[in-house]
Amino acid sequence: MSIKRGESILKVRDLKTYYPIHGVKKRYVHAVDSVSFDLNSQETLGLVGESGCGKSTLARSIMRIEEIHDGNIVFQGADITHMSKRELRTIRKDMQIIFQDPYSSLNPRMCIGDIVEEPLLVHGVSSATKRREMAKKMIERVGLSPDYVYRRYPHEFSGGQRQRICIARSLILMPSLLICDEAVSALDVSIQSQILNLLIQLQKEMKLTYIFISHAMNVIRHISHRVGVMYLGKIVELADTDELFNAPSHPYTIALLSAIPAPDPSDRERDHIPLEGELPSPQNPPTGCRFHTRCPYVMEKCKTEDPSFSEIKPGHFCACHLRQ
Amino acid sequence: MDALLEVNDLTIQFRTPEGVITAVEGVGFRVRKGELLCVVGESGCGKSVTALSILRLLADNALYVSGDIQFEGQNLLELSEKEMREIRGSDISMIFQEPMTSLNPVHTIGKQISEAYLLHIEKDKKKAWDKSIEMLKMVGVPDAERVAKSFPHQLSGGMRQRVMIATAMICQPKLLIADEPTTALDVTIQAQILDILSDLQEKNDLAIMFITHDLAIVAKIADYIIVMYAGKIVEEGTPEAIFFEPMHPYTEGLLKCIPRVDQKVDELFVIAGNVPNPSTYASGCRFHDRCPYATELCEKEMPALELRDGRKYACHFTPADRKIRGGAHVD
Repeated sequence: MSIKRGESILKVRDLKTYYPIHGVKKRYVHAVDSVSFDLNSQETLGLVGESGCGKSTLARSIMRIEEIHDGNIVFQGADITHMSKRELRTIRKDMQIIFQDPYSSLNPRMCIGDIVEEPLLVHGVSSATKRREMAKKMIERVGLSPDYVYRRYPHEFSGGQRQRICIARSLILMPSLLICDEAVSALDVSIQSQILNLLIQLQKEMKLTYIFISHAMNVIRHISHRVGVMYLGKIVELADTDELFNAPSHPYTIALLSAIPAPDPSDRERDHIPLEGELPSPQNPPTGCRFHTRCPYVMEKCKTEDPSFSEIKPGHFCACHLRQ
Repeated sequence: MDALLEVNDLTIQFRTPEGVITAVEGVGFRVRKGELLCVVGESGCGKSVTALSILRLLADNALYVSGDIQFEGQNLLELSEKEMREIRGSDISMIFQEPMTSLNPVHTIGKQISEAYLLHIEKDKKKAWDKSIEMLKMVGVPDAERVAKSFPHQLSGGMRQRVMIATAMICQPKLLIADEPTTALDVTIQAQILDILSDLQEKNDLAIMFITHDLAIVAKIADYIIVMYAGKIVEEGTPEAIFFEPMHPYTEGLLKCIPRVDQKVDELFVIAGNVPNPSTYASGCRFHDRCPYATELCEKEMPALELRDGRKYACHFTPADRKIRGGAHVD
């Protein structure tokens, strides 16, 4: 694809993914609710939020793995919202995903070479020598020795090495968009930094665009160019990474940032803003602003009126009545 | 003698079909009354095995090869199973990472919290039930009467972990062992749970042994820190010592390779290689194949955990030595 750096690669508008509640007619779990954002080529968009906020569902909806309820997804200029499975096949060459758990994402009965070659087979590279050559090149690129790993099986590798294999498999079709869903969360800290460095290096070399999902704010800060903060199915704040971390605007973002301990004992006395209570159920989200049940600055208006997601500074979006 | 728990030269092995595996080797430490000891390390370093060994909860294929575990002057390894049962849940209790698998899905929360109380302290069921509600209130559960009557699946992860803490605290233990208690929780909930534990430590003079892989949590709550690598303690010290002046190359690397929320760097520091597998420990220092400063000596000889210049660490070299050699292999 000939999309230049900084040009839009993905446009998501008003995306809704609802799950019907079994046995109850017309009642839904609002997993992703009216999410809109743009993604530019060769940038990394970080998505943070607590468990159940819809970040994984959002990623899966973009890939059309989940059934979309409403909204619009334009990928590389093509509207993929209503594409059939057959049409999606060609599109999916350009968008790939890697998951949290490299243990369950690899078939234990296939050797590494076959695992990495498989996408080529699916997408019609018929020459076996060509496939092998491409797979070996890719395995080398992710920092493994092709001759050593090719005929071995997943159980012979550690978590970090398996994640490298998953990355090789996802990149062998030369996609333009890679979604990393908690890709480093299951790894030990000393291995986590290896994989993060590898992802950043591959992004530069292969001109990749990332959507990087994580609940770990420190990882998000390190890898992202822009960050979206999700709460209960909605993006509540979206800004450049430095802007978001230095001047957070939404009360939820502020509380979230203050809750993270820093690896520094002199930081111990820093006040954190305690968030009372827990995430409400997305089955029955609060009226008005969804954060109002836990927000320290709640006003009357917040209980009835849903704040719009608007630009408070150039490139800095926030959904809060306080900032409008 | 003010140490509540003292572990000396503990070595634990497991018999497996592939042979004998040494999970923990020559580990010794002490926990004082009201102190919070953090044990940090990556997966497979032996931190959970050490914790479980104190309560003698290891699987049947485990062997206590050497060492003793003194709790209030009594060697726990010499007690009978019956005497051990008297201690579990009353003097020493434990909470785990995944509260859902630790709770029984078919009993009410109140019943599970009061079980240890009925076993160790009070025979009257009504009083035990009331006590469990009091405990739920203490760990900040709203609407405690209703929660006591509900079942585990009706609660969120954070609530379940509060229930676990209430269960562990009902007999007023002197020592609480917490094995990754916040790892499965979201950050805002994690902050709430850490606050509760700190409160308990202060108000009840409770000693806590806190096991985690998260250095940020360690920095926040620890009174004293033990860093483990491949079944051995490589360094120990106060939070200030460990974080501001790490002596062991592993501690140093570990601190450098975590991304920080408050700082931005272009490239993260990397500790090369992988966490070693306990069945294939090489000779010499177990960190030598990943250590940027390793010499021939490190490949041959295992360094002992020694006290040097007021610091305890297991490396053949001091940071000054390593600097003189220029750290030629660094980066």
